[in-house]
This record gives sequence, structure tokens and C-alpha cells, in this order.
Amino acid sequence: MTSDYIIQLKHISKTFGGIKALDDVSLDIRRGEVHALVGENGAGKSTLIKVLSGVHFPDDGAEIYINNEKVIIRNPMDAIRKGISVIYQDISLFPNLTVAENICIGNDEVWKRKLNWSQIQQLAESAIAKVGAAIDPYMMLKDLNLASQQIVAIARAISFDASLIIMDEPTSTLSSGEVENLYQIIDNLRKNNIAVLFISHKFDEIYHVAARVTILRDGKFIAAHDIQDVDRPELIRLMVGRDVEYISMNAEKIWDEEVLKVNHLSKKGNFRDISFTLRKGEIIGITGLVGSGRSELAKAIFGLNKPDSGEIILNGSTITIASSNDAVQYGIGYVPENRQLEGLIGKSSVCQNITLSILKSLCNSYKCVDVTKERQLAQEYVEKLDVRPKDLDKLVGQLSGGNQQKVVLAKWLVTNPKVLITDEPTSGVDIGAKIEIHKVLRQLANNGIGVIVISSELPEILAVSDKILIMRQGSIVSVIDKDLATQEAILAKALGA
Amino acid sequence: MIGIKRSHELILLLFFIGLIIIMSLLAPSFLTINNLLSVTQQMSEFGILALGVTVIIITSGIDLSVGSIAGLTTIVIAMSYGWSGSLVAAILLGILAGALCGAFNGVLIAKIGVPPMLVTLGTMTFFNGIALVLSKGNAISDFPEEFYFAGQGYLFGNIPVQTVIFLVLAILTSLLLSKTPWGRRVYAVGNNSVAAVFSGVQVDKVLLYVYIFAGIMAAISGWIISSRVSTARADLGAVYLMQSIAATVLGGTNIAGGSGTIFGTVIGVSVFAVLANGLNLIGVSPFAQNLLMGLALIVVLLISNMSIIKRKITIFIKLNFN
Repeated sequence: MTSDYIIQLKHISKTFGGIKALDDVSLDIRRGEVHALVGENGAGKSTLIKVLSGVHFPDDGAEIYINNEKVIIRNPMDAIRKGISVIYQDISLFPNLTVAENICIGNDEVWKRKLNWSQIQQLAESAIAKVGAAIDPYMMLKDLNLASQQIVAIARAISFDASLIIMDEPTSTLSSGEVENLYQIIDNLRKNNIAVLFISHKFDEIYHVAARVTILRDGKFIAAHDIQDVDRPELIRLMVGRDVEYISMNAEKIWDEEVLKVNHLSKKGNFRDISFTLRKGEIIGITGLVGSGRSELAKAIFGLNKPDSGEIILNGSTITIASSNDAVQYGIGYVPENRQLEGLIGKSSVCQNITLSILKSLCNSYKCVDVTKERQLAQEYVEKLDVRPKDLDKLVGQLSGGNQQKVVLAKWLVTNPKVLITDEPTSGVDIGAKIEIHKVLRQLANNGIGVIVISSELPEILAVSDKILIMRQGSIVSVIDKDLATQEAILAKALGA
Repeated sequence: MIGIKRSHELILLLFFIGLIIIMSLLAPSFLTINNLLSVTQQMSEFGILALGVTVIIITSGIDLSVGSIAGLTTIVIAMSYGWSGSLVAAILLGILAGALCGAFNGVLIAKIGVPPMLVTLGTMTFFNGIALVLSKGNAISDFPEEFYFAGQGYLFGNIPVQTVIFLVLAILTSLLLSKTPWGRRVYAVGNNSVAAVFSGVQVDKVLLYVYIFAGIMAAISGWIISSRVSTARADLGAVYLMQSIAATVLGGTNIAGGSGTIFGTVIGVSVFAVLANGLNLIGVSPFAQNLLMGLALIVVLLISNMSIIKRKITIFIKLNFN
């Protein structure tokens, strides 16, 4: 039993341009085991997965054993043929092919020069059945929701006789019902002796599904434990190398002045009859399941999702926000949910990202950007928010998640906003940086900005907000004062239980 | 990324210098002031076209209609001169026509959201069609003597007028891109247009001006061409379209958008001009010239992607011979 490892990695190192992303990492996964891989952002999880799945080639000295046999993984298809499949966050399948084609493509058994469609369909159906799902193999992949697409990806892995399925943050795009379903599927896989490597930031999930856990930190292997041998504080300690928990911060002062008032705002299919008031100095937390209309509401206030009816009142006057540019002019900032896609110009410098929204005000009399002034301003906020490294010319795409988020925050702070909306401000950010971001948000509120924090993470909502709005199916179902709120109560409201 | 960009420009610059050395060895008459000045004269027309194309490609767009806009401009200038008798008014009208053509592209692309490739594929034929209808397919050569100044005249003794115009416009474009808010937004939109929207950038407005700018550049180019050949014809400029795109890419502008410099484009344009001129002097047949120019483009792009190629080869050797 002890030597029944499906996969063993030893001495895995990977260097990118002089920087060691992985430094002598090892990983052992037993047959049919659900194994969690945890670590802060930048700890090397993604790089390790990419080595395992043949995307990256490890440095010299690496040893990879599959079934106790030393192997070389040449490329992603080679990894799949050797029984290692990855379910990526963004699925990475072909939207314009059918479910059956997606499952079978590249499978030597059926994907031959002359395609045998009945065989393809059979293989697809049996793979879907093994997952324990019901999906029409003739449907186009793009017509399925993300949860079903994920199931198709799992079915594909099964059809390739995977002995290890790697799931990279599989629940990040799922609703809670769908997460339950995924747990079922993982359980099913385990029973069929298929191991799962489960990467997640969410401890609840890790403790729910995993039998063992491997912890990485700064590209190094820290420890591997049976999950029952390590409790949450211990796990966090191993991840960050120190004790942390969220610090609940109270408002210093909430003014009576209402900065933002939303009256009966509705948009068909998104949200309906939303009313709330945000006062100067206050942090409102908005929570609810994914798909409850939170982000759509935020985008409506930021001018990117035109509401059907209702009004938005800023500092006492009703305003029409027709574009994001209008919102910026009115003093509304929005830190979007997807940092890479919506928040940052990745190939541009820290400095130029920070000043992108206020270029006009930095112009000299020749209508050119005053670079000295620009750099001074950017420098000031890099210091204030402690962006690391303190290098204005560093490309934003090369920073860690937490520091990228600080740059997005800085971009809005330089606009002197009256209202700042943050959508999952700490998603994909390590725990140390999460607390720093919470502190920044509280400081902003103390300086008189009205702040809205949208988050799925209940401990975060409880730690940062003064007032909590709970949304379900497009409506606000409850408004709870921070002092009276508990995780259980919020969850019950959000689920409609 | 900045490092990579710099290294591409450096490689291109070395390639360019090497090219000049080879040409001057093979053709003694190459490295004379007069010949070099005539090289700059030859490169100005499609160089000006390439300035506009560079800005568009930085936004991750493309403009296939610039050649047709140049052609249409020549017709507009010729006809409005015949109708008004004022050369200045005619040239201004021609440039206005170019700006309008660019605005037409820009509205379809930025406001309606049709992909740039499709829009400009359509307008390439459409603008050419307008020019053909206006001119009834004829060449027009009723120009006064002064009109030939831009394409055939010299300043300070022997410096071609269009060389000066090209230099001034290149510096202007470079300043617009690197110093103004608009320039910054052009790069931002090309890098990540979604994030630009989420930062309050009016992407549609930025793009609209980008295409108008390219239209104006094409019009100026058309004006110089017709001044040089003393003729207005709908198809003048069409030959420069692909060359201007190629020179832009050769100059290091990323075809996927987000990066590129005018300095790079100017060198890219110079490489093509030196090649054409030098090969002519050596006496290489025009047919072989195309072959060599295409080859040069491929070689430079291969060299500047060498690091990626090297890595692939290393892994290939590791996998198959260890």
C-alpha cells in the first residue's frame, strides 16, 4: 500500500529567466486519492501543474515516476496519453465542436483518419455516464454552461483512461449547487481508483474533498500531510509561514451624508428593484451566490450595464451614467472581478497603469503628459499601498496577484473617487495581501469615501463591511448590520433556506 | 517585454547597417549623398502610409484601405483643382477626403464593432470604386507647375521635399504616440481593450481618431505620389499597401497590438528602400528583388524570435537524443 503511488515527482525545479519558480519540489499522489495542492499565489502551484501536464519542461535533475516507472513527459498530449489530464479553470476545450467531438478528439481509438461517428458517440456517452452526468453528446460545447463544460472535460479525461485528473480551482466559476455536484463526481472518480489533484484557495473545499495535502511556499516543497493531521490555523501557518487571520476593522466615523443612493434599480434578467444607501465613510458588503446579480449591479452603477429602470443618486442629485467614462467623471471607481482581463494593461508599466484614468489632468500646456508629475503621483501611491517591488517601470503582468490588485486600487485612488466599488477585491490573492487590501479599503472609508465590497467569501465580508446586503436571484433579500451577522445566517439567506 | 522590443530594434538596426555596408561594397555608386537622398525620396511615400498603419496595428487593428484612400485623394485633388482653380484648396480638400474616408472606417469599426479586417477589405474596394467613378477610370494630368513641388522639388539645394515632409510627420507621429494621452490610450487599447473600458477610456473615440489619422496620412501620401508622377489615377498608392504593413511589422510593431514604435517603422521602411535601391544599382532583376525582400523580412523576424526557437530546439534535442 505504501508504495502504491500513481505519480511521484522528485527534484522538480523550473527556472524562468534566472528566477526559480520551482526549487527541488516533490509530490507523491497515491492511486485513487484526492490530493490537495495549496500555497499562496506565486508559490509555484501553476508551474508544477504545467510541468506535470507537459506544458513546461523541468530543469535538469527532475525525476517523474508514473506507476513507479521513470518517464519523460514530452508535451501535453503525451501527458494525457500517460494518464494525466488537467481540467483548467477556463476549460480550454473547443466551443464550436460537439460534446462528443470534444471528448474524443485526439483519442487514437476512435480519432483515426476515417472517423467512425457511431464509435465516437458511444465512447462519449459511456464517458459521460461514468462521470454520472446526463449531457447530450450532440450539443455544441458553447451551448453548455460552465459547470457542464467542466463535466465534459472530466469525461474527456476519463475516456483517455486518466489515472490522475488535475483540477485547477474547479469551483471558482460554479454555483454552490454545482459545487455539490462536483463533490459527487470527485467521489465517483475516487471510487473508480482515479486520483484527483485538487488546487483551491478555499479551505472548506479542501477539508471537504481531500485526503492528503501538499503545501508549497515560494516555489519550495514545505510539507505533505494527511488532511486530518493538520487543522486550518496550522495549514495557513504552513502556507504563509506565519499566523494570520482576518482582522475585523470598525469604521472610525460614518458621516450622515449619503454619497450614493440607488432607488428601485432594475434590469431584466440581471437584478430587480434594488435600493440601498451608501453613506460617506461606510463600507457596504454585498454577498450572494455567483449569478445572484451582484456583479451586474456593480457594472450598472459603473455605466457598463444600462439598467431598465430606477435611479442612481450621487451626492443628492440624480445622474445618468451612460459609459464608464461618465462614471469616472462622476467620481465612481470600479475594481473589477477579473484582474487580468478587466483590471490591468498587463504589458504596460505600473506607472502607466496607475495614471491611465487621469491622463488629461496630468497634461501640461502643450497637451502632453507631464511625465515628472505622473511619476511623482504614481510613486506616492506605490509607497502608500506598499506595492512590491517599488519599481514604477516594472510591467504589471510580472507582479504577483496581490501587488497587481494594489495597482488597480492605486489607479482608482488617484482619481479621488467619491464611491469605490470593488468586486471580489481579494480573489486569487494570498492571505497576507488580503489583509493589507482590507486595511486599504478601511482607510479609504475613514478618509470619507463610500466603499462597496462584493465578495463570495463570507469571512471577508464579515471582516470588512459595516452593513451587509445579501442578494439572491437578482434581489436584495436581506440587509444585516455587521454586529448581528454570522456566516451561517448570511449563507442561509443567500441560499434561500 | 521592453527588453524584447529593444532587442528587436537593435537587431534590425544591425541588419540595416550590414545591408548598407554590403550595398556600398557591391555598388560603388550606392554610398553617395545624391543616391542616399534619392533613397529617402523613394521611401517617403510608403513611409508616410506606414506611419498611419503603425498606429492602427498598435491598436491591434489593420487597414487595408490606405492604398485606395491615397488613390482617391489624387483624384479629389485633381478634380477640385480643375473645378476651383486653387491648388491650396484642392490639396486641403484632398486631405479632408482622406480624413473622411478614415472616419468612415472608424465609425464602422469603433461605433458599430465590425472587425477592422472586414471593414477595410470592403472600403478598399469601395474607395477605389469612388475614385474610378469620379475619374471615369481615366488618368488626370491637368496640374499647374507649382503642384510638382511636393514630389519633385528640393529644399536647401538637394534635399527632396517629400523627405522633409516624411521626417516632420514621423517626428509628429512619434510625439503623438509617446507624449499625449491619446497615444497612451492607443497602446492601452491595443494591449487590453476590455481593461481600457474598465478604466474609463473611451475606446470608440480613441479608435475613431486612429483611423482618421491613418486616412490623413494616406491622403498626404497620395498627394506626394501624384505630384511626383504628375498624374492623378485611382490605382496610385495600391502597390504600397502590403509594403507599408510589412515595413511596420519588420519595424517591430506587434501584429497582435499593444507595442511598436515609429522609430522601428522608419527603420523598417528604410530597409525596404535600401534593398530596392541597392538591388537596382547592382542590376538584380526586379523579379528577384521581390524574392530577396520577402526573404529579408522572414530572416529578420526569425532572428528576433531566436530565443523562442533556441528553446524549442534545446527541448527537442533533450527529448530525442538523451
